[in-house]
Amino acid sequence: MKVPIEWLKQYVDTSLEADEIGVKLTEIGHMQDGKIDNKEGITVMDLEVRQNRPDVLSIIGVARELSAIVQTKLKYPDLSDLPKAKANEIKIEVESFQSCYRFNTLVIKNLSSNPLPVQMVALLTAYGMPSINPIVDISNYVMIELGQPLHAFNLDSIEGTLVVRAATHDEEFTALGGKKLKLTPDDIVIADNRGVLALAGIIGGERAKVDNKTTDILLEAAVYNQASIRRTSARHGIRTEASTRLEKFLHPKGTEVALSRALNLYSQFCSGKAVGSTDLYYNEAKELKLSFSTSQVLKIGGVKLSINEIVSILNRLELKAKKKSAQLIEVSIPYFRTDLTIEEDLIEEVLRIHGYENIPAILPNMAPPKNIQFPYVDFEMTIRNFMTACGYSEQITAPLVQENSSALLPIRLENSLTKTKDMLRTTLRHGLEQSDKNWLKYGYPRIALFEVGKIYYQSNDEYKERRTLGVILHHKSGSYFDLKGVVEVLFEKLKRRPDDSLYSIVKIDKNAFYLEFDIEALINAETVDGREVLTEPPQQIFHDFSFIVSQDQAVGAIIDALKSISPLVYQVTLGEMPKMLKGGTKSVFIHIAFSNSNNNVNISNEDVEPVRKDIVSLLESKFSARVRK
Amino acid sequence: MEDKISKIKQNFEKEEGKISPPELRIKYLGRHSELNGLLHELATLSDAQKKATGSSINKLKKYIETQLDSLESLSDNSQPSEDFDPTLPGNKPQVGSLHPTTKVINLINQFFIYQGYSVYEGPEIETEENNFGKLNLPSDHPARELMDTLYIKQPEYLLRTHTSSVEARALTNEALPIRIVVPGKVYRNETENTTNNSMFYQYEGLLVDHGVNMSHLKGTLIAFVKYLYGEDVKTRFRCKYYPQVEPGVGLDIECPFCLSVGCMVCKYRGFIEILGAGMVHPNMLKSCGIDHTKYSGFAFGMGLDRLVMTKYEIADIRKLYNGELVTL
Repeated sequence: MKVPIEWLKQYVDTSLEADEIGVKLTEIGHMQDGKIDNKEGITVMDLEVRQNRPDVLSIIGVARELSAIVQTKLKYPDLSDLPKAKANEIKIEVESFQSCYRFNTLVIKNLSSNPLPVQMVALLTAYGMPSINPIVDISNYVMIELGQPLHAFNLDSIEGTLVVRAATHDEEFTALGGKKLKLTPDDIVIADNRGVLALAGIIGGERAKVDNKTTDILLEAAVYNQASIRRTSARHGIRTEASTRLEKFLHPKGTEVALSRALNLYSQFCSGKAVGSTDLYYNEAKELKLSFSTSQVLKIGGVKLSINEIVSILNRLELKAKKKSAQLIEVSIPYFRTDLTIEEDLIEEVLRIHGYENIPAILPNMAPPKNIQFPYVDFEMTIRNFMTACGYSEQITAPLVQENSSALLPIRLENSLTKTKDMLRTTLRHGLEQSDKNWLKYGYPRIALFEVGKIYYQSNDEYKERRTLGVILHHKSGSYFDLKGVVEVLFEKLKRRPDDSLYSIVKIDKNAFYLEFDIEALINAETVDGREVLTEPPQQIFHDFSFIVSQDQAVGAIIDALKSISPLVYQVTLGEMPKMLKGGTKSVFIHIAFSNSNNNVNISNEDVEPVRKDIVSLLESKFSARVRK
Repeated sequence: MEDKISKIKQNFEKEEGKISPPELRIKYLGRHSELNGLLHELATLSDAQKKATGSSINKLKKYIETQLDSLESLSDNSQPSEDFDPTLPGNKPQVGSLHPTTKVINLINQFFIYQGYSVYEGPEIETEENNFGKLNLPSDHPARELMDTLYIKQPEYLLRTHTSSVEARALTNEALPIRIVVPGKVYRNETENTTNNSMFYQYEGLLVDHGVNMSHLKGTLIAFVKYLYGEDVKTRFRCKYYPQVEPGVGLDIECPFCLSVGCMVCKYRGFIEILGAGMVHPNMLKSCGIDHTKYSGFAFGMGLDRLVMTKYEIADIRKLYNGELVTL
């Protein structure tokens, strides 16, 4: 909201400079945005728009806030009485009070086209509204001054009855400026017997446009269903000063004030005469009264104020506050403050005018509640730390992707702006491959990346999010076993029983492998006991076993069998990678450490010998191995 | 036995200058050396003899080792030195690193965990009810228009537009009092550019207890900002509107680039807005089944990406999450 300071100072007496006013208004919730500007001698300040305060989309509204801080009385603009008893010559109807809460009109005749005072036009221009002609300028001036949009129709162009109604399907309308629109039944229009004259609350039309020759007008001020205004404005891509205000919660009471003010200006500067007025106001809103206990200011605000201080602050904002008892205040909410509906709203009013800077800063001193930290938080951080310790770097890639095929049923978006991001990823692979490509450009010889993130899919008509670890290794001597090793150590470090169904490793190309690990299954996998720290190595005896087996024989199965052959087997490791031999066989070299499961008892060759023999016979009988003696 | 030992010694001394030290080492100290053989014979001796002979054997072993060591070092010195150039670069181990966003989350978590908060999470695919309804944002609320929501199935299922949806979940499902912080991904249907990405990170906090008021919120936020930006940081604690809270708060820090004079970075505000906060709106407490006359609380929320970008000097938000970020 642009605020010409000279305009603001018409309603509030203050010697404050523009920048000081900016600081004060910022503190109480109207943030000054950008630089203070000077437009042809007029100082203009920009305030951030507050969605719940349509009253501050007006100069008088800003002046009211400022007057509450500087504690001077607001000077109201002059109003003229509307000719209440006299209906105007045009018949007016409102089709539905669901979409139009109040439709208020005034017919003014014999308007002159004398130029308006230079300062008035300058203020309007400084605000950002170019001057059109005196009649339109006055209606715009009142809108900016009071916040209630008005629209002037050329009276001679209206044919028959003026109706506020829903547009018909594909009804045509030419907006001011010549833009042609095709309307929908969700749009509200102001129409006469010939057709649409204005898109209600948003923009007028070419047909009943006011020009320099116009002398008689029908001036309209109305309040519509906000959501409807918002939707129509978005649908047709038209945002105007009127729609910005009417899409917020304006009180219907404001229409009569705006018309009275406009009449005052029209008679003052264009020597117009009001000849009639109509008011279609279906459900007149009652004044809202709120009871407010002063103890709430301390309870919610943490600030101790006396009842007199509180009453004084509220009155400065023109909220009519009365003491009801030692503790209780009754507040009458003026019509323009549609944002105030509950007690807490009043607490904010008191606190912001008292000053947020005067609220003490205290750390909560209540006992800390029970820890409800998600177990995943630490689990995932352990995985991240483990991966970085292994030399892998973390990536966070976009969950919105385009995948050409996926094993899972993907979740698609209904309204994505871009086709390349219209679904949620079902794997972390593509994001990591993209990262890999970028790292490659930097010339890294060994690219090791991971992401801890979610994948998304549909299953049994439910949307699923699954915590997942994705790992990519790109290196000329890297192999499947480097990633498998990561998996094995992860199981070990996280004390989970190894389970090959929880992960998959795929080859991406000659030098690159990708691992995807189901973190949720991992955290829920069977846990195994195990010490994390050893203080003394167990006494060990080592034996190497070298043997030849069929190439079809999985070495993993042999290692598993050896591990469980005796409690004396402490560790089984592969001595070197198996070598392929002629005749469909391979040579395998396995290194076994034996130790007593009771750490305090030493192991001897005599203890080991029977186990060693068992191992040899197992290898021979079960795996048909030729064991080198 | 002692004879054998002195014989070995004599033989060694005879051959010392003639055979190369490595060969001597194998011959006199190796597994198949005479001396090693003697060790095995020890078993046949009485305990007293064992001790005496064992000690002689070890003494000789020591002697031979010392002799060989000095011989080897001599021969080393007599040869041209090996190619050892300490100025060559070292073999750097490959070191992995965490994503900058994770690091910032960890940093902030550390503060709040110390203050008794639990790190809490919720789904990214949310219901309209948790993302809007329970947060005092009924279907026609103008604030909904501010957020361009990405829908999975209109109007019920969507990608959460803020982490506040997790507050609704926690308040509905967890016992009171409660203190949680929620870092996480959020989504908006936005045209992407250097400052907007369809996915970004927010950090949310919530405290609900008996007797919580604005001074607790202010105390917490000021302590947090000092933790993050240093004791001397200048802050602005001002009134601001958010539908989920009443009263509402905006917290700014002095623009570090212009020291509140006004510049491009702070859009001539002199301050940079870093978070929004306020006392949890009674409508929100009610919609989560909480008696707002007994409990009160505060909530705060901030965008994380701006913080990460400033800290790590990243000018384009898209680079944070599209794989273009190469950590050094």
